[in-house]
Amino acid sequence: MVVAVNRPARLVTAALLLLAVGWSVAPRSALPLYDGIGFPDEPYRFVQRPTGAQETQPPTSARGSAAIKGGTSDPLVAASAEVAPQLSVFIPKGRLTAPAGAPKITVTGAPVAAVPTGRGQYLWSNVYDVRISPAGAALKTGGQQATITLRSASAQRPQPHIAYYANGRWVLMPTFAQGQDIYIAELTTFGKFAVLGGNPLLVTKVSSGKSGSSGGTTVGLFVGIGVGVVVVVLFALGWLRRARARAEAPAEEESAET
Amino acid sequence: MALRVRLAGPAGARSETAAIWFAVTLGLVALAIQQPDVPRARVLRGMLVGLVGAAVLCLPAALRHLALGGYVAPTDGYLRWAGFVVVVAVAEEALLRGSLFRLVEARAGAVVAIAVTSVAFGLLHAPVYGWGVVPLDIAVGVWLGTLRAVSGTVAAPAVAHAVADLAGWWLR
Repeated sequence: MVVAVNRPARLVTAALLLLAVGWSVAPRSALPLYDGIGFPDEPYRFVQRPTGAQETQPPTSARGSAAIKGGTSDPLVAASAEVAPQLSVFIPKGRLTAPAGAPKITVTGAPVAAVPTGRGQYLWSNVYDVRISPAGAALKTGGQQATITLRSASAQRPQPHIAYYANGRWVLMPTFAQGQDIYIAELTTFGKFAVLGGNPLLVTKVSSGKSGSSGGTTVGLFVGIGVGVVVVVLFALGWLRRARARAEAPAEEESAET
Repeated sequence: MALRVRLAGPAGARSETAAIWFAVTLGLVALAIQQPDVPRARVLRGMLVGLVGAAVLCLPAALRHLALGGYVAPTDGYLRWAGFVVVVAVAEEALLRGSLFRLVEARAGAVVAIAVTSVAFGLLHAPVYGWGVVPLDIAVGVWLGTLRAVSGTVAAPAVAHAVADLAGWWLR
């Protein structure tokens, strides 16, 4: 009996602990689950719109500031204004050093012209130039990770990498997918960043629009919904049949007794 | 999942067509396996348990959202999006924590059923969402499996899963 009473509590406790571990090792995500379908974000805003891509407003810049209090920097968030942001930077509390007397540190990220890539590398996003000011401000090593998050213009696979441009070439960074087309990496330096894929970017006009049944055809969508309705009806019929059988069973037992 | 990835193409998880066919396929498999007879009172209690389970799933994301002043999305298109999200979430639960859980539980017990369905849940998401999400999704699978084991009905994880996904709109 004691086991029967305690077992659910032990299960719940173990599951909560595992959930805490899962959250702690997971990519820094805001999503409770990575499921359903992706959020209906606005179409990607390109600096140089590729053929076939939807016409949009120009991409926006990101800007964020952190006050320096007692020599320690506040957390800093800088995100561009698209839905969802095409660039965002997060720097935890205390990870920035400022020159003496500077009251605050500012990080900006601006979309800039494309930078040539190496063989087998393709730009899947704009190139963003991420800068820090005033002069002399920098990232400190150690402590909680600072991150850069970039949205790709496509959710195609295989998974791309966030890369930074150094000494005339793109350097791939360890990258995690944050959902379907948003990628995150540790920010260890400032400069030019982009999402780089291993194959050419596939762009369609409905790839990320609010209006679109993206990926697949409208006919496929409606046929899928139709078959889905049939499945639900079959579930309902099965449930009704069992409910009827359950209701009839006691009556039969009663008549058998009499 | 292969069907979903193939249908989705570059749209990935954003593809509604791929999502609906994915859900239909899961539903058909779940339907092919005999469904249990669960008392209505247990289902209703399971739904309440599911709401509590959803709150637990949303808590870390909500705290982070508040701490970082996260983006608040407009509600344009929410209902259409929500419909697809609920269909996919319920279909996944019908198969994993419904049919598969029951089959494994009958042979090896609830703990093994939780483990098997959690690993399946994690792997199910890898092709579309990347391997980085697998540890968290396995942990979430354990939580959903625990809700199923404790409540005795798939209604609990189905509600928790769907509500947590729906809340994601405001927690990104």
